[in-house]
Amino acid sequence: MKKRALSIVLAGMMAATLAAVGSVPAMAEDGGEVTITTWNEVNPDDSLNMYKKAEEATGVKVNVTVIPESDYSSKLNQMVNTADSSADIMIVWENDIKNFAEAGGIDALDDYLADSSIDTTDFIDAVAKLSDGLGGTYGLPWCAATEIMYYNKDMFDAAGIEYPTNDWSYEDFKAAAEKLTTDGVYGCTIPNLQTWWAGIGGAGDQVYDPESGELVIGEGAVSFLTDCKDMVDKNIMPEPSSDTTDMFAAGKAAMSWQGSWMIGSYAGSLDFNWDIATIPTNQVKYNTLHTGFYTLNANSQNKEAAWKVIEYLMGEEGQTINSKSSANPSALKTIADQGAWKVEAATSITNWDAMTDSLAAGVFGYTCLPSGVTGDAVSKFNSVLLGEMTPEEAVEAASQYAAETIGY
Amino acid sequence: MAQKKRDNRTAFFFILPWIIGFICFTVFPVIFMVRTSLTNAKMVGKPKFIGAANYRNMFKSATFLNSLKVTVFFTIVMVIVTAVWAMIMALLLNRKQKLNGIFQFCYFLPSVVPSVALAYAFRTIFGKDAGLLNGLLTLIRGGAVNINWLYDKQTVYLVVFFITLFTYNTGQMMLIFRSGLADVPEDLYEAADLDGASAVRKFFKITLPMISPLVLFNAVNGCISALNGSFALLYPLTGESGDPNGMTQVLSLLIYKEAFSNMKLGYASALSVILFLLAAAFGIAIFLISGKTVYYEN
Repeated sequence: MKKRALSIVLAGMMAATLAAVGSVPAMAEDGGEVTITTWNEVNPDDSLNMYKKAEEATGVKVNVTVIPESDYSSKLNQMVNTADSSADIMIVWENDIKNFAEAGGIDALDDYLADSSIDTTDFIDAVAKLSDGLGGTYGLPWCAATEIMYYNKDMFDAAGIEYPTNDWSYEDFKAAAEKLTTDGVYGCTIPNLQTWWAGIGGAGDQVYDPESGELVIGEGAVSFLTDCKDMVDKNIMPEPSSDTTDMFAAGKAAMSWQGSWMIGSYAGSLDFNWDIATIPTNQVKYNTLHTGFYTLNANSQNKEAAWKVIEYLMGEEGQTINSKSSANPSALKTIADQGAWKVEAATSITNWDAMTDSLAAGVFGYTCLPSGVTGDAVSKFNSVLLGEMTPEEAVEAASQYAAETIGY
Repeated sequence: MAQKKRDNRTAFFFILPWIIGFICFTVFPVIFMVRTSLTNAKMVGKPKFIGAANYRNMFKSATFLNSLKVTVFFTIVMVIVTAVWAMIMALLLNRKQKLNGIFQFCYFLPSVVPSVALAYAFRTIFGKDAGLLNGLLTLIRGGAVNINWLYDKQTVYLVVFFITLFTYNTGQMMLIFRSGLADVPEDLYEAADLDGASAVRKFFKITLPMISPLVLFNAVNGCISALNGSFALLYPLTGESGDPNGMTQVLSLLIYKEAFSNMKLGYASALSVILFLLAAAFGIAIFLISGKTVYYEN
């Protein structure tokens, strides 16, 4: 009797399991199933998981393939090269979208957009310009991130210096950095892979020429490198090293130029008061915009379902969830104006205008160049700070390597 | 005669799986690499045949010429440093003492740590402001020590070659030397002792000649390992540009950068051909040098 009861229970459990397994593709059968590639981990909070919300809204099952950022571009290039169809939607970076479009790896979205509620005239100007010359719209920006200056309010208070404003000049920045430097605390951090270009662009160089696709650096780079070397020599700025510690977060630097996405990381995790301002204005106000583009894999077998998901992610709800999750504003001006990107946990930020001002001044610059070229240049800039090259030598060597590489 | 033919066929049948693997995974990739090196292949798009343009451009590039110089230097020094260290460890282990097995285990243990994990650990140890070593030196000295170990041109090679002592290659060399030392006939040492030979003299006149075939094997193996395997150590340690100022940018790092950061597959293949030729040249040179110095008992 016991055996029979056990058999019935086991059979019931098996049936329930089979039913449960069957329910997974049920959504796929109804609305289809798509795979999207990204370099960002999915938000573990369901209410901030835009892919889960997209599933609920569209009925399309969304599988997310997360590829580490360091390999992201090369993996996508390999997928396009081999006509891989395992991903239906690829979030493509600025430096790849043109190559993918020219190679026929991604579809033009104009036909889809013709019947869509997405208003492409609402994109911030820089995004609209990036599609120029492609002969169509091949990607829709998933967000618009920028570069800003983070500063430690407590250190400013202790030094009796007024907080930075969005109209701070580069000279104001240098003077404050010098005053804020004390034993064991640097006035500012060394520029990182991104913000070297903000400094060079701000010093008057074009950085990236969209017409020729070339790296354009010269006197501006020499001037900014000379300033940085001077600050390193005076111990205002640390020299490059293998340390992986974030000096600003560790309370060892008063100011830091970094990507706006760091707001999400710093919110609620720093044990001092901090705020943000735009990158100080040197010859021009300059910072680089960062985004990725939702694109449709030309080899996808699920294009209609993929477009439904893209349409949701670019819609008001999708963009709002993305902003809340990543602290990045939408590239659609009307949605960005609603301010969902003002992360609630970042309670010490009062100058949210720094973000909107930075976005307005932002351009797509170095991110359109091959990462090997910009990485090589930054390595040479670091050599200047270490006293192993002059600024002129570094700029010449970086330009030479860029010329060898771009247009290959 | 028929038996011999049958035996040959059987032998061939047994090595067939290896031959198939060799053709598929060695011969074919080498041919493909040479063919790609004659094109302007990028990661996406159709490649065009451009003849020897990649090779011509390469020898005009300051980045490549620097990398070639660094690779030759790095390979020679790494082989010498690791072989000498492995020999010292093997000699210590060859002494008859208690707990020899434990010592051998301890010496070999770092070698089984993956190179990438090893490199990250050492990167933390050799940091400037937050590095463990500088922290320790600060405690000992009683004043701040801020040596920029991996970014100072005076110390970077010292650190990199120190780290190579803990790689798998060094551990493997040590075990090979150890097995060779155990086979050196004891009576040779006894005879030398009777003649009053010093320990140094015994090493150079008995030990080294007797294990010279293993020295040759380790030198060739170490060379190939330094040329091809240094990537896993240097990429996490000094980055794809071989900081500081390209001082550690060996060819394998440059190949990675050209192929996967700049997407120049044709150019990266041409660089790979040069690396292939360099490995062959090192191997031939070692065999030529060793022709008169290696002693074979039989």
